[in-house]
Amino acid sequence: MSARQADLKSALLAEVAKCRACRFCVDVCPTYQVSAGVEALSSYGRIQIIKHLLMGVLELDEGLTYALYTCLQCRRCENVCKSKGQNIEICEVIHNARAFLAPNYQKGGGRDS
Amino acid sequence: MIPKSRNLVRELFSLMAQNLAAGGDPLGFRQAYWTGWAEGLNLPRQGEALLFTARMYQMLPYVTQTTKLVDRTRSLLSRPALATLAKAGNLLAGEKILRHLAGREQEIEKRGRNALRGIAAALALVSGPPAYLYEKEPYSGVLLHDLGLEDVVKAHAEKVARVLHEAGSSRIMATDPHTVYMLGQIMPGYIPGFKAQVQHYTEVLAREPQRLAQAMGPMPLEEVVVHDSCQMARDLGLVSQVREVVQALGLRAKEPEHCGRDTACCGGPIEFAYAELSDRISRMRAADLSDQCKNVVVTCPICLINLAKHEQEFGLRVWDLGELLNAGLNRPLAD
Amino acid sequence: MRINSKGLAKDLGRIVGQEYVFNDAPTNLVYAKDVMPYDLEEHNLPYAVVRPGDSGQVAEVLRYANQREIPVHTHGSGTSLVGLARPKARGIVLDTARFQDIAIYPERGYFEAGAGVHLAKLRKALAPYRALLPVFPGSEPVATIGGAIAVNTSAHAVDSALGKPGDYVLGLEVVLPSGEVIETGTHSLRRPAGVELTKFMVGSEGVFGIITRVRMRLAPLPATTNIVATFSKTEDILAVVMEMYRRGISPPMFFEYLDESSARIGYSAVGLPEPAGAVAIITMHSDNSVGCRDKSERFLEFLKEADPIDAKILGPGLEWDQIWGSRAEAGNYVYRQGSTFGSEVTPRVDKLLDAFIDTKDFILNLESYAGPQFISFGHIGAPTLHGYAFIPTKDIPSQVKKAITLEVRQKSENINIKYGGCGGEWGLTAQRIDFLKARYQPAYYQLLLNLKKALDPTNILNRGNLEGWL
Repeated sequence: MSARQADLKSALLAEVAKCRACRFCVDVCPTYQVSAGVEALSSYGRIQIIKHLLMGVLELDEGLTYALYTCLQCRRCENVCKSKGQNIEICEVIHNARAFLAPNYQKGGGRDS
Repeated sequence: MIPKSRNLVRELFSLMAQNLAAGGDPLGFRQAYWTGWAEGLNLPRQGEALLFTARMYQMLPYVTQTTKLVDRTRSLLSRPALATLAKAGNLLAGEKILRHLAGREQEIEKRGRNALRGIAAALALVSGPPAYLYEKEPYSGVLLHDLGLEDVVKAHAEKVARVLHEAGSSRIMATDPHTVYMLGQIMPGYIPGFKAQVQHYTEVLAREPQRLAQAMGPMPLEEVVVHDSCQMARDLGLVSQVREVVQALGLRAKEPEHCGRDTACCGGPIEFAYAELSDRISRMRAADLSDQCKNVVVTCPICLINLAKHEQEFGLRVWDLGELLNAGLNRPLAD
Repeated sequence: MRINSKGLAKDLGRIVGQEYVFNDAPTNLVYAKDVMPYDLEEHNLPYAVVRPGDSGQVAEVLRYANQREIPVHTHGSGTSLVGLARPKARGIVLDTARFQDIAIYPERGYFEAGAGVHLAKLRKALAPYRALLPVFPGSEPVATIGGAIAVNTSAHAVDSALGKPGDYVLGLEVVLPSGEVIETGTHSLRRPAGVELTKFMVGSEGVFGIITRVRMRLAPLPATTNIVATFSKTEDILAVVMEMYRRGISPPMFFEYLDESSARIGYSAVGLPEPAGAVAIITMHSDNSVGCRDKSERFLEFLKEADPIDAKILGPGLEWDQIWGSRAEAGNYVYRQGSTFGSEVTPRVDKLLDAFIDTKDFILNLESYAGPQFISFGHIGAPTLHGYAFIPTKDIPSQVKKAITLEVRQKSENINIKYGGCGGEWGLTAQRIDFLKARYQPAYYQLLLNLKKALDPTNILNRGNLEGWL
């Protein structure tokens, strides 16, 4: 892992640690709404997926890729998180997770390095 | 049921990176397809205030066709060997195929052209004819940023910064919110010292609503429902400006249930990779908007093409604000 | 027993449709995660998540699970604060999110809702009918009506004023653990007397069945008036509550408080200037606005006897929304600044002050962590006080977090036992089962076990709740 990757990872872990799993951001997420309520396709779901990927509990597989890259980055979740929840820049976390994982896709690898 | 994603994402990445490296265009096109809208306008090529399209409206016909193509070949792209073949084919045949297919998208192309002409006319009225870079105008790189391709973004951002610096304009008036966001909030992080004054054109127009109102001719409609783009409302904090312009046009602005900072997304950002999911989201939004009014006004080309897909089902007409400016200023409606 | 996750997913797909079954690791994890501060362990992770669309499919899933002795964990919103939301044995998570139907019948005097409907959505649907949804948890945007009735939680509502949500339930559709679908209750507004299973299923915490549909009375929305009062210390607010009941004054619908610390944090989070002390946040209610105004003015005079720093009637508007928000989201706002470990203390009303002192004392002297701060807030008029151990860092090992959680749980429950309360919003199983066993006679718990055995002989439904597993 490069130094930049390591910094990204550590910054991401600090951000996702803030998530209390209050789930207030679940209902406002468009992908949650159109999937008849699949929690993995909500902002809360994506944050927890990123957290557990970085903790080594989850692997970079199809399900994880789908959850991460279906985020619209629309920031509707942040309205709720900032007003009622933990004030996390949720879309920035998801974006930074994509940046952290990009080398895995570019090299054609499958595992988080 | 999870669609196969890893290979698809991988292929998108390499496609984008390759195309940009080849000629600076995300579609991989060499021939300038982004200048035709300005034919006959004789905009100055240099000036203090620069109109910047970043090719976003002009890409629309190709984006819609590419998306359909990606969706049809999705099952192919999810298999590694075939994906490699498709990539090789991309450089040779891609441009020809897409140009051919894009010919079907005449309505979208017309709307995009009218929108840009309307925006240019309105800006000229309010703050004098803007400069335009014509074939030198670069793409902003925003899709790369969305995908997290930081290295590729940086390289592209350096090119964009150079072009803008050479243009020498102190003010940049962008025609879409993604470009405002990219230039105003993202590029300074990649290019130290890059400090452009970037505004969305509605910010410029909203400063002189009276001048706009006085120049407006009859409009083809009386009221619209405003769809706020996520980027406009939440990233850029631009909510009142579009309403002031709509009012200056002599139109009544209706509000959907979720509007302003609580606006609901059009589904556009994932359209390229996950068309079916994107379609469900845009349909949901189109349904909400149609509850208020059948004429929808948008200020983002991505919102335009995503909501326009559902016009027939809900009896909607989705107008780019630029089209309405064009209708009011460039009478009759420019073809 | 080894379970083949792919085979399981295929079988479940035959019942509900393949697109409504997930067995990928990320989805499994997301459904298992809850607000407990300690990490998920392997036994918490399901083999698959199934999302049935009607009670028939729920029944078939349960019959399938029974045949193979696979545990089934019901998932509503996943927001339980006492561990109900986290599966405690590997099995199937059954998500009720597709139960979204809302049917309102003003001519019948009731409405019906699918178990998965979020309370905020339901409240909005009832608004045009000027009907009350008598459930007010802080997790309203995402909490489900099924979960709220399964726990029979009062949350913000003062029981003596509004009753409990179960008091408004006319009937239920329930799927028993063995896979039979039963209907309980009535379609009339005259509720049944005698042995009637609605009452048995309300508050059953997923132990005895899965609630799939709820029928509730359309109660008229009361007129309301808000009062905010600042006191120099929390103890003054407690004294007000005790005196209110002593004098037989009709309690308000909401009577909340923020102590000095949580008031500072909450007010700052919502953009209000720092309050001068502890804050009482009250909503008076009455059948009509004239009566409500009169009631509020008299209550205000009563509050002033306790010599507050200030006390006023506050009309609807931004200031009230902010103040209410500072309390409704106090838990989240405090958590922003570190780690929190909460309790629910609901003493006999005349012992409120003693219970508060005991709670503060044990939290300041925890064995599992040296030097936490004590923060409290709650539905003090109910009475409920939430005493929290607050530690201004997120950097605490998972095992330590677990130890603190359990210590706070156990010691606060000892206070409930000492002062005769039993909680009113978080349920009595899962992390509260030790309290239940200590508070009531052995025969009580044995009765629950016997009922469980009778209804769920293979113990597949929400296994671990009655046992108190983590």
